[in-house]
Amino acid sequence: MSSAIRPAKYEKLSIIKNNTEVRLEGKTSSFQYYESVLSPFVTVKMSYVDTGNGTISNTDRQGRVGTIYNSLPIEGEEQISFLIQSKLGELNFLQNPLLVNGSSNSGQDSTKETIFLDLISKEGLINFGKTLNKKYSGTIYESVNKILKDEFGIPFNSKNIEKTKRNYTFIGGGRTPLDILIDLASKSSPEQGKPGFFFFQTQDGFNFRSIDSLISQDPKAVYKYTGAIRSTLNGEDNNFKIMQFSVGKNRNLINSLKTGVYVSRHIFFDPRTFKYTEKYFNIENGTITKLGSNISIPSSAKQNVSSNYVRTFQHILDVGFYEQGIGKKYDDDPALQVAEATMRYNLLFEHVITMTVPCNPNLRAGDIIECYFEKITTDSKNQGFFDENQSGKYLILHLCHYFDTKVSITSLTIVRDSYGIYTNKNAD
Amino acid sequence: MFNNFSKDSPNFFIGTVVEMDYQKEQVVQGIGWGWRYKIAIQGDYTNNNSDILPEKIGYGICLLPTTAGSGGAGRRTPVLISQGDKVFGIKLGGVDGIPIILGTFPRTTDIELGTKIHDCKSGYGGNLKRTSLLIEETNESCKGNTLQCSKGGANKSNRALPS
Repeated sequence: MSSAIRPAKYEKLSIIKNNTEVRLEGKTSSFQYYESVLSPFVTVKMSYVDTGNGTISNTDRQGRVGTIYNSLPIEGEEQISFLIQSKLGELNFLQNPLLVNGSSNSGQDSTKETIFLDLISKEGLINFGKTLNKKYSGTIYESVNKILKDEFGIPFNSKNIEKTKRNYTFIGGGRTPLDILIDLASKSSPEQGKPGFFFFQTQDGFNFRSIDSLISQDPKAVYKYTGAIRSTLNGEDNNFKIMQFSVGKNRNLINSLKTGVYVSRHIFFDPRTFKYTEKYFNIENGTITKLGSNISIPSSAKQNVSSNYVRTFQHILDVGFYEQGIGKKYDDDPALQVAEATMRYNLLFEHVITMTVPCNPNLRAGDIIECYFEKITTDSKNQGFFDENQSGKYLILHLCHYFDTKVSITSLTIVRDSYGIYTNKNAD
Repeated sequence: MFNNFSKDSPNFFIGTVVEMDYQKEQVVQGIGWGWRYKIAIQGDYTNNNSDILPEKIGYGICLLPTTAGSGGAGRRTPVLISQGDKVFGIKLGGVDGIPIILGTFPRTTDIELGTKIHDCKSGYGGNLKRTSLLIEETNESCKGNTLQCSKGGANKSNRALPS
């Protein structure tokens, strides 16, 4: 058995409201912490059992103790600060406590009640109380920095906010800051590499990172899947064992062709010159940063692209509509931007695996991990134990650290864009 | 830059045409292109003039009906949009798309003028100056046959007979 799977220790877990702090360590029955590359804020779902000695009721005339749910009472925006210690690391939100977004009483009898709490990061909750109405110009990187600084007023790690090329002028339009930041991510290109960014929050704060830079990271951990468990006294050797996994999605050729992953046609209408422009885009293996080895391009996409496209995108060019004065120019090559971003996003989600590993709080959404899956063969496994097609680098898309009274595990949804254990660099 | 109208659904909008003084290059000085007007789109722009200055508001482009003529073979009809007009249109390419002006709301006799971005304003602006003849700014049914000759103006039915 792995030592990391053993129940974690709640060093601190408390709910705070109006300077009243109530400890929840001994009451908590389950705790699930979520991060996702597709989510701009982190969330938690937790439950605790309360037998009525939680806190003194503010509303009880006799001043008796009661349950936290009704005596504190829990109404939303209460702070939950926690430090959970697991074998491989800790989940520390003492400095940046999460806030209660919602609560429900799932079961109550005369001696106890079970309460479920939905928690959200402070920035996530602040976001829904703000709208942006100003005009932003300059590079997207500059706008992202300005929004984070002005709206959230929080220090952020500049290394997690990546620079972009191209200027983009836009208006807030009454949208929330995080909605705008997600939208900007989909329109961003890194200074070097293909278009496609993600805006997401992890334990370390906000991230505005290009897909290219995410998949170029060194692996954070190496996980292996075999049918057998290594028997040791302390269980250390099984801390990086994949407990179970399933392939959620594998390449669907028709869907990929329909969404324009490999070939697409782009039609542009210039409302100033009435010029009609038609461009074709096809994927080229050598120019893409990948998690695995070469992408297997379908035969139809390798032929004459001007007659083998399935997806057509139609665009009207923004000829200075949001610029001051008389705009007569537009971005140099929007076709390439749109086509490459479509390819990059769709390609990344071609292979999806969900898996469970012993709890590892050091992992973050957006990290790269290396996974080795056992090869199924009737030949000898001495020549190579792991499947070279399925094994390799994966990007963590979603992550959940789960703690209860019996186990601590991490559930992962991992994705990759190509097969193979070797990247281009390794293959060379 | 990113107006993919085959993917992002069109968004309808109501907007107010910005005062001509803030779009001189396009509508007064004649150095712009096409029939474009700066329009303060409801929802995109607040009614607070300091959030975005009127001169920084984005353009919308006019679409004419098939009976108006595009200019081809010399057949053309001008656009008669004035400052302060309330217009209706769609944004092609999602929420950040290109605003296309499809029509104007005819002014009623009850409109209230104001100075804020979304307030209706007198149409006299830029090169258009108010004269003693053009006194009304409404376009309603049953209020005279022509735009200028509604209530208060002289028309065939109410003008004084020559003495």
